[in-house]
Amino acid sequence: MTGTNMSDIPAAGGQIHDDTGSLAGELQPVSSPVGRKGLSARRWPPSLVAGVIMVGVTVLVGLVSFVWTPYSIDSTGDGGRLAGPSADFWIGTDRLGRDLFSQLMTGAQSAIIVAVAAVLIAGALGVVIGILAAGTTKTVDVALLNLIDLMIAFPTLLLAMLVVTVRGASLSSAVLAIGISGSAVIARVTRVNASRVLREDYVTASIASGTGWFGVVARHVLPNILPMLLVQLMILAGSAILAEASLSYLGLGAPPPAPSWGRMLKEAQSTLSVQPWGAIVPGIAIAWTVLGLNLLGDGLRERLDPSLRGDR
Amino acid sequence: MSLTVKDLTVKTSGGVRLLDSVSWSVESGGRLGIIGESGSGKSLTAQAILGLLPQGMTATGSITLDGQELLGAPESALRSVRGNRIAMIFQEPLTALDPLMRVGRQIAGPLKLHTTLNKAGIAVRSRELLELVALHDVDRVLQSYPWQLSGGQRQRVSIAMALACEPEVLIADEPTTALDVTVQAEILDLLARIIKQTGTTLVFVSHDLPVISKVAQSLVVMKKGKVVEETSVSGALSGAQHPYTRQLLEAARKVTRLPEAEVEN
Amino acid sequence: MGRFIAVRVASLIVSLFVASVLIFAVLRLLPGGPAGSLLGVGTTAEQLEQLREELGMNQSLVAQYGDWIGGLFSGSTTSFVSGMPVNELIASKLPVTIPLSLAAFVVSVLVSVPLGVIAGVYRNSAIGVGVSALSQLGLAVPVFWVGVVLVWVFSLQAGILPSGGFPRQGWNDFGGAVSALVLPVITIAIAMSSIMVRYVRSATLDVLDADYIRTARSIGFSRGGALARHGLRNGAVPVVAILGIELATSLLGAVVVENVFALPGLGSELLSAVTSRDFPVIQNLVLFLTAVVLVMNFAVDLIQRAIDPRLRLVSASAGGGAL
Repeated sequence: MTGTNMSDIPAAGGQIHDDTGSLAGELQPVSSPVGRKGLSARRWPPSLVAGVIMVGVTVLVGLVSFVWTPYSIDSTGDGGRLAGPSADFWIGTDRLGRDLFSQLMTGAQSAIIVAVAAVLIAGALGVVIGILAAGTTKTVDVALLNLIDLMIAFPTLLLAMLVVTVRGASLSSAVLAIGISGSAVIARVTRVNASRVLREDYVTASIASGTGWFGVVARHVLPNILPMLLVQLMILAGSAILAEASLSYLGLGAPPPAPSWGRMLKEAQSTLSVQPWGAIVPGIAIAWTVLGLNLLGDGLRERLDPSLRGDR
Repeated sequence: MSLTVKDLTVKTSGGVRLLDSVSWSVESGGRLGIIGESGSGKSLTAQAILGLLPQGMTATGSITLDGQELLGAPESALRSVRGNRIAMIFQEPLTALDPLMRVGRQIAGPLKLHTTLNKAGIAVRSRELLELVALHDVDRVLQSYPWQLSGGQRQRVSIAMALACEPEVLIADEPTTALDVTVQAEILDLLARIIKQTGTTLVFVSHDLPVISKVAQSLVVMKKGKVVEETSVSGALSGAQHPYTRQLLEAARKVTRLPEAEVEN
Repeated sequence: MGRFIAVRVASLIVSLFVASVLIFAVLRLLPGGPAGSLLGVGTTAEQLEQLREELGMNQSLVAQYGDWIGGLFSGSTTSFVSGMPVNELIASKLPVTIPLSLAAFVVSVLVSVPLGVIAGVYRNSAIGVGVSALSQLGLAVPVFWVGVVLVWVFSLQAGILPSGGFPRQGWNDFGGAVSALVLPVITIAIAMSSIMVRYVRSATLDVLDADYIRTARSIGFSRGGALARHGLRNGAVPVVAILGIELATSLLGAVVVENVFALPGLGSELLSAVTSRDFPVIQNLVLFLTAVVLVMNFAVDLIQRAIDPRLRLVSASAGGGAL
């Protein structure tokens, strides 16, 4: 999907319930005979394993493509045009006779670049805004919260179109728009979690003993919100790849010859009846990577908070 | 009306025994306390009596209310027992009530199901019930949503709902655990008074010996799904046999809610 | 209630104002700007100056903003490219985009609510796990790819539906218009349902585990009776909350999917405006789409309040949150 901030969705879904009944008043800590899930069994939830493997494959392919691809991505070589899959050209060739598999491999590069860059921008911007909202005055908090809400309502795709209008279609325009848009979600998650940490007694004690604002943020807030943040950033990376693919598909991403799964799909669409693989395989590559990142996020969440059991 | 549990065994779908041959009985008008730590199976026993075990669990043995077998009885028969002949109060009064439904409609629920009262009759009975649980601001309470009431008020509403159809047996599952200490005492006094007044049989489940000692006469001590001792409350306080019961007693003394004198009494 | 609506409307207007300022700021303040990007490289300073004059860009930013909003309301703003009034242009595209996104929204609700409930109720069986897995997959798949695959299967292979385009006579050719929208609607609905199913499943799980359901059963309600009495309303609260996001998703899905199927709607118009840097069209269209999203969120707020009395209490004391 594109457009609306998909990354917002698992965030809201994940906050459903947290604390179960308190054990206050129990006579003694007991080892219940059955029923409680052993924590050790959940150390590596299946979704985390699957996510690591899937994302790992994409990253590996992207890295390999820097040094080796079966063919040069712009060689209109020996396979003929719009050839189907064969032993030489694993998923065939495009209408200029270029090898699709080589393009697919190289396309992983821009997916990785977009994911990493958008996550860095959104992370840096979002954490700063979120901590400002949580840690300063009530007025600043209310103002920033309203701004965050508006940013979340403002669709990523529209922001990207505005940026492209001004700066022209390029990978950096796409990354900028996706990163800024994603920062709203990160800011919201940061704010919620940071203000919870700031209310903890040990933080109050730390401030009382003379720790400065930056000290509190660096020593208490950041380490405590990092796990939740990581989960969100994984999911954001997935929606960044989807958004970039949409932009490339619309012709608003990195211009040729930079490789992109979204544009591969667009170019192959007109020759769908002759060579469908050119359109189908890039979509599978996108879905594979995004699914991997979503599973990675879910798995991390589950690992960090076993009470969620991946149910919600 | 006596309630008898005999050889009650509850297993998970994986075959793990959560309750192992639990047996006890309470006579009509009796007041039984079931005590044990969390995971001892005391709440599960309560749920099994109403046939409301969590999905995947199966119960064997026998549960009879005045000679009528409840275990394995058809769902329709159980439904006419629940809320009508056996009612239950739960630990957490906030979540036990529907947050989106006014108290008045929630109290009317059991009356609609089990009585032939018309709308006006239900309204009269609802007011009576709230008076019974000492919620005197009746109009406001009926119009309120549960979250607009205090914890103690909510638990009173739960008690009123449970008593709506004058059940023969009332099962209270840790009804005061989630409440403040002062409110706890009020609710316990209220329960004790109502039980005496109506002659309802009480099964009171708790992990807290001092709390149980205020309302129960006889006592069943559970640990790890088994009954380890059956005694009277006074017996438990004066010199229990089973080491686990003594442990519970010592724990209660440590938090000093049981004065030594009363214990030695 | 009246006070709440007043506060909420005020907050909506403020949000719209801030959104318009943000749109304006991105378009005017980022390096590049309308005049430069319109003419491209190799233009003389005189040409640039003349164009800036024509576009009113030598005025102060406030005056430029005022011109934009004034033109928006008076309808006098025209497209750089076609010269057509922008408001008319937008209106002429609505007969495609509105049916497309509304139908996608309705279909996705009709599909995802039952599927989500099934996924929740049978969470541990094959069918529940299967539905969850499908929705995970649907979340990862790009919407335009779904469209392309559907075209391949239903147009190119089966030949039963058009692969794109919209009848020239519009809705006068009713059958043609409907069949032109079938695949686009399914495409958007698949993407939307994947999100919705997750929410409905989560809401279902919460309701099934809820203490009040256990209470209702303890007083003699059947499982179904308890769910009908308490579950529907409680389950609806979180689901309604995301309907706003859903409606927005369907609209934005339309922007992309119209381009997959070459439908002459707002999305195609926006893309061609971006490609030709038709500033008046871009800024009005983006503001229009943003306004629709904000108004939908506003409507969802009102519905939520009607369902959940707790919200009425909260906003009565907090007074809503205008910026």
